[in-house]
Amino acid sequence: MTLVIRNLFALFIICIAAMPGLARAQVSVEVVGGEGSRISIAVLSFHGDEAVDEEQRIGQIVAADLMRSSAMRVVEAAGLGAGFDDQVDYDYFASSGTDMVVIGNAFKRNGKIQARYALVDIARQERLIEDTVTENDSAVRLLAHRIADRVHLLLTGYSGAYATKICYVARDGHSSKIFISDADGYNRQLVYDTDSPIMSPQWSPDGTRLAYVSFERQRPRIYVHDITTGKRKVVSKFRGTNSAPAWSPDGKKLAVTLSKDGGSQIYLIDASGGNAKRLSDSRSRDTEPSFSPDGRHILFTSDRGGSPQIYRIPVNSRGRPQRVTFDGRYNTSPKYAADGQWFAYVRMEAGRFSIAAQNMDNGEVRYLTSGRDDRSPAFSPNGKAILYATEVKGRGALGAISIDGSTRWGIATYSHDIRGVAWGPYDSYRVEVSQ
Amino acid sequence: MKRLFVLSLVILLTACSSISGDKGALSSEELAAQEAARQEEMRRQEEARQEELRRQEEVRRQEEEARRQEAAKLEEEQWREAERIAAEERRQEQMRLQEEERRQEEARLQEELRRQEEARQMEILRQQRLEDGDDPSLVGMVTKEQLREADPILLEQSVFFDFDRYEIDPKYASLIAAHARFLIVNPTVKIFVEGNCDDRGSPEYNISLGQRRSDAIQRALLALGVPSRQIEAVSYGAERPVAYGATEEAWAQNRRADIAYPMFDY
Repeated sequence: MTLVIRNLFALFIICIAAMPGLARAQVSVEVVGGEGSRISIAVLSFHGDEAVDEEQRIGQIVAADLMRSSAMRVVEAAGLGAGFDDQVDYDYFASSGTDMVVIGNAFKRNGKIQARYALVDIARQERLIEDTVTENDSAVRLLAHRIADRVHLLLTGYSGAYATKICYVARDGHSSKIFISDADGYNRQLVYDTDSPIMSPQWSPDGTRLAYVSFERQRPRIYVHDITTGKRKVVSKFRGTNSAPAWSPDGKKLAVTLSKDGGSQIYLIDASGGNAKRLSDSRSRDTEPSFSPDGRHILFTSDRGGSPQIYRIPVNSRGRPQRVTFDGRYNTSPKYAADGQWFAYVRMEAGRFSIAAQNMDNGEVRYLTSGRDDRSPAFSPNGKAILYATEVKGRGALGAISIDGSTRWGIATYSHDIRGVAWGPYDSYRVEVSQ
Repeated sequence: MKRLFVLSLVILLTACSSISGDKGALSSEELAAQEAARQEEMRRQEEARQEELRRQEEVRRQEEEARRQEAAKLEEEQWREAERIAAEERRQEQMRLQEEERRQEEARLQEELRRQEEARQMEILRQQRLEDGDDPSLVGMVTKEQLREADPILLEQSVFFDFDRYEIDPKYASLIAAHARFLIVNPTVKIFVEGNCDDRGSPEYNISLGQRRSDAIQRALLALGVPSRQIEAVSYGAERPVAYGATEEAWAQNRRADIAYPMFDY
């Protein structure tokens, strides 16, 4: 039942030197396996795209996005260019084993950038997509992420979640900075900066708010921070410790961990504060709630069996918690994927903390990472990738891995330590951050 | 008198010689003139002598006067010096008094400021209690000196734990008992018991471990009779480490619960 991906596939690293433009955001992609079943795709330079900076070239950005998909194999196409109206050389691409080619034109006019692009199926010799996208000319990367998302959706049935945002808390000493950046680490913006520890950031389903725990007072409290206005509100300040917020899928409730009645137990509160309703009722440590996408269940960590394991309880009906992890003696931090089928978690084996995922339906377990101290998993909104906090050479970094374990990438954060990671919903990309 | 006798004798002898020698004898007028001149001479001499005596007397008197004046001057100077010293002493004494007064005033002012500052800090605490939904009368605050005076052991405020454990080592019994006694006699003092852990594993799950530790201290204090409103058990998990680094030494320092009094911050 347990599938160790790393042992099944040979390590295959895509040469980063081919994409020097990525160096600045320090994104590195590693393909661990599964390349045989991938769609091979070439993204050509867009006609009329005169950006000198490779980080601003549409073709480069689309290619870099698709490289992070476990369903794609991006074919090196440096130096090849074609316009929207050009005829693709089918024989050339067929002979090099390329299934799909993206071509397009770019125009800049009146402060806007527009791209007209096509996805060409080499085998069928036809265009699967012809589309035009427009953005402010300062948002070339967003424009390219939208193209990559559309291409990905058409070829795989799900969006690549490239045009999304991520959030993480960088800690140095006791001071904390909340950052939001693009999913690929670019366009980092400071949301909040404080001398106190902050942890457990969670993105609201509408993309406009973050819930997190702050220790600026003696009593740890839960805040909801509107990132569009910068306004913060204390939503949970019950006696004792207030921690581990999780949004309900409708954004109206938060599942939180409170110690007001002793111990650590899970409660449901209004997202605007108040109305605590107790969900777990035990003498054990119950924490780290995560809502199922349908809002009917909560996964959480509990030590009721003697060691931390993951359990599931119904939200609205009375029901006994059901244990869902049985593999190993330390399983924590469950996070439901958007499809509700998988959940990611942190497992500890021989003193090493790594990210794993388990299938809710058949119990299949995948050991995904092999770090020394990987934690705080967060799913991409398409449920296909897991972002997590890790360390590289003693510095905090972000790691990400596809749910099948075949593709992983890292984003350098230049932070001392990462205390919490969140991946925004599809709508998060257009949220204007107030600073 | 003697002088008068000698003079008479001279006159007598002269008269005799005049009588005995007729041939060489002078006329009586000449003799009288001589005699007058001589007498005049003698008178002048006498006057000069007298004058000399008077002059000497005058010099002596002047010297005497100078000495007297000198002495008087010296005495006056001494008196002035004494006066000056006395004035200086008076001035210094006055300064000392002023300084003393200033110091007392300053101390009074400082005391007043301290009272105001304490009142201000207690008001902030009261507001905080209200905001936290706590009893606003729990505004008792302490100083290190106050704790030391009550019992030096009260300055020890940390209880350490083993990895993933929250049982209190019996060696902390006297420490916890001392804190319980202090809280019972200071019923407006509310403490936070802050649980902490080392940085291994899930940060959120670690919060619940820190909570177990602070809950354990809270239970012990309650069992010793401390009213529950005076204790709040919270957890900082691994978020407020006192020691950094992935070493057993650092981890052991972070596996602890702190008894945190509201301290005056001057």
